[in-house]
Amino acid sequence: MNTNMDGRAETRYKRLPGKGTRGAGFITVALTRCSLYMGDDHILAVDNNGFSEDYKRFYFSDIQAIITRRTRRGATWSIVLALIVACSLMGALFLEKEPVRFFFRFFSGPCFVLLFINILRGPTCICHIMTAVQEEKLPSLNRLRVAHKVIGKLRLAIERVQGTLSPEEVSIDQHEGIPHPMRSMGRLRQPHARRQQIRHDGGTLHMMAFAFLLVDGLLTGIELLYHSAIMIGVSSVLTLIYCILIIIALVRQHESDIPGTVRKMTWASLGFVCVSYFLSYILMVTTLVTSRHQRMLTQWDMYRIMLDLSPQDSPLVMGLYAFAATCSLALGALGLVRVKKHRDHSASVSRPDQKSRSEVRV
Amino acid sequence: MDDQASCFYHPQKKAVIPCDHCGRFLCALCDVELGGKHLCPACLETGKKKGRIINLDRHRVLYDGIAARLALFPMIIFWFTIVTAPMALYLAIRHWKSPRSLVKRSKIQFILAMALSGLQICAWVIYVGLYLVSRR
Repeated sequence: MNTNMDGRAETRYKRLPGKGTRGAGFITVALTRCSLYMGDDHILAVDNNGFSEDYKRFYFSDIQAIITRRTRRGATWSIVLALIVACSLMGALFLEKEPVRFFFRFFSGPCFVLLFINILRGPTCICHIMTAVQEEKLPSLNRLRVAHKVIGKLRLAIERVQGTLSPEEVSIDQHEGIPHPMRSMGRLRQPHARRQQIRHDGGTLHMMAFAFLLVDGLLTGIELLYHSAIMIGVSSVLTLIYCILIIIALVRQHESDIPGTVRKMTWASLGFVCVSYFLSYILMVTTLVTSRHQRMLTQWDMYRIMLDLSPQDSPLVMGLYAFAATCSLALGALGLVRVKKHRDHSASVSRPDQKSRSEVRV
Repeated sequence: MDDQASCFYHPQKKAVIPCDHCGRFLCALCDVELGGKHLCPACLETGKKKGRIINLDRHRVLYDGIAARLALFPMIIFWFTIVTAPMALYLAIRHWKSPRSLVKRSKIQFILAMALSGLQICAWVIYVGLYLVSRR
């Protein structure tokens, strides 16, 4: 048994599939590795940071539910990696200098392998385990396929302790709402009601961000035809402004009544900014490496070379400008339309209230 | 109550079970069931303090992991090993019998730490020896 007063560890833990890291976000920085083990009468969640381990036990008799929710994290990674691979391959195929081509060929290999592994591992998910007094995230179950496999194993162990419901009992519970005498659903904990208040946001910041994005898209489109240093300067200032606005808008939209479409468009705008910066960085590096300009002694020389780079000079630059203009225009216009709809809707909802108040005053 | 066994901690209450560790009679209130065993509060407290009840273990320091990393990572800048190799060796010997991870029972990291730190110390001894010989 696992309770041993003589100091001998007798519990044999069986490793369950899946491993993950604790920490949220697109890129996980934390190095705490999480894994799950199955004991005689409980699941052991282990957080290992290399120097120490923290344990949490979930007894089979206490487990009320294991909840999995499919996420888009894996798909997002696939898109990002596919973009990187595509850009690297373009660089490897179309650039003139052999060392640069070799670099891109070398760079695209590991990215392609990562993309392949990500696709093979299947869709991602978030998994929580629920008992009467807690709801704990299980970071090791971050892939849907693995989560289903583990839940299948745990189901047998939990049913051995808690018993099973026959299909008839389940259907009675579901359709007629009659609680089963042995396993009353009323005993299960109700999920915590969200205490945070949903704040009203008119979306002014979003509107400004999308408007700047739209103007920048127009300017970039004009730059495709008419290259000028002043326009590049104005475009850079606009980019800086809408980057700041997007970040503030993303913070502001948290726990607000901004609709999901506008939220997604704001996140997409941030994604577009990141991708375009990444592509511009690659372009800058390749230009500086392949540049025939001999006088590149200061930072200003570098900027001058970049300013001289016209879309008409290279298909790569033309492609980048076209991509930036299209995305900016599409995101800006669609974003503006959605925010406008949200503002109209908010106004129509608040107007009857104002009317009724004015009637009361009269 | 005269012809019934009473609880050790609550003499007015009827005993229902003896402690699996010390044998004291316990009432329903004092009985703590843990992993299939019935323990009294005193044994539970003692077991928790001395780390004997595995089911109450929430945190463990992985001395084997620390020793292995202390022996391995400083090899990138070899000069550090003059300090870290004895430390890794000391940790490996001092904590050879300390409780390790609940889930991984192997001592491979201790062995690796001892082997690496031993080699590093040997290398330093040879280096210093050669240096002294060349000075003469």
